[in-house]
Amino acid sequence: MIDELANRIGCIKRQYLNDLLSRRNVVACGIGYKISRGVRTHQLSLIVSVTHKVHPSALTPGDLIPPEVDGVRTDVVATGVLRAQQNPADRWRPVVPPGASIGHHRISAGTFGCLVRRGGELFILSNNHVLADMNRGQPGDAILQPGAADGGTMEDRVAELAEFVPLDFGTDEPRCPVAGSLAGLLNALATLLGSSHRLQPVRQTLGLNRVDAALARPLSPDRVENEILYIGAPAGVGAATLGTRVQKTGRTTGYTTGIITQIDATVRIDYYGPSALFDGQLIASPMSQGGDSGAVALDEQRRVVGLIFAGSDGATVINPIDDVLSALNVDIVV
Amino acid sequence: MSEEELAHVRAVKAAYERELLQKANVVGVGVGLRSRAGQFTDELSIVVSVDHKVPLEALDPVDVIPCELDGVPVDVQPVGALRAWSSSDRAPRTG
Repeated sequence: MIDELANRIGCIKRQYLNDLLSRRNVVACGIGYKISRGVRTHQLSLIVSVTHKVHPSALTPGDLIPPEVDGVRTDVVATGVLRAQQNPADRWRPVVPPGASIGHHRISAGTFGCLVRRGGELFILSNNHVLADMNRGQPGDAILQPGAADGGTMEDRVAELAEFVPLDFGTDEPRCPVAGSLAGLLNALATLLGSSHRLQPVRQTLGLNRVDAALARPLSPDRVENEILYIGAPAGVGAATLGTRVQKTGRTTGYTTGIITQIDATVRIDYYGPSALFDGQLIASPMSQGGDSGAVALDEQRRVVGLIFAGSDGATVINPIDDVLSALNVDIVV
Repeated sequence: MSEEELAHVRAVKAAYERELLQKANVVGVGVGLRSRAGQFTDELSIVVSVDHKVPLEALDPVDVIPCELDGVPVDVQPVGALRAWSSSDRAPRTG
């Protein structure tokens, strides 16, 4: 009898699963005994787990969980964000945390570094080569979570490219348009359209770069959060020096630690073809791999000290965070 | 290390970095900790990162990295090629 009922509920669950999971705050759907006033009853029901309960008046009708589905009672249970078995390369819903896989729709995958703000507006911070496809992206381009290499498709658009600091390849310029004049053109267009969001190319000494950085605007501020996977929310901004111990969470190698072994480094970075020169960089011991680009490095007090963008089996190259924040005119969200 | 010592190493590094970056296999020049037998010491030096180490006799003399510059030790560290760290799982197309 119970088996038969469980079977029937199973059928109904399968039928409505996608619909239920697409509703706001829903993180899981299963079969179990309904809990009423904190006590488990004998009534088998469809249990819908949500990150947190929201008053029905605050939800659109499409997001409300119906009290019953095809004659089976539902039970809405608040469980918080489920993450024990998730890893950074997974599809994170409904809320995307820093540390997770992300990328411009044309690239493979990188990492969502952390949240930053300018005034009241929130942005996702990562690298130009992750969010802006090495200068080739245009404001409004789709940013996917997870990145395409992790199965992200246009359905997984969680943000759009907002701004980037152009990478200067000097005489090694690849097939990209001239970033500065492109930015100027787009800004003129933005002004005509009355947009306050301007693309800001930060001019650097020719052929010499300071940061590989870009911002994406989340489609909605409540679809991103500030707590970096396995680390937690940043405690502010710090300055790294020789010997500073750092930690990061990235799409490929997850949570790792390292130590700052060089400061004020001038390095030549291979961008899968063209190469670019950077100065004023931090170098840490090996603590990352391809796909970790865009992760932020934090000190042991959880202060953000840099933005990871390159490396090898022997080293990790990091933009100092002060340069990143001033180039983009944003602040870290703490 | 003292601030004074650090400032001196920074200045010497700044004076020679362009020249060092011209040499074969060099991918970076920084102010850093000297390594010995794969372990980082607390000794301050100019660190020259190279793709891979090459025996002296196989190098053109102009590509040889001095072991000291203006009294500052120079440490050559093999790190491999430094690459932008997007995923190498080249999903839609290589970039």
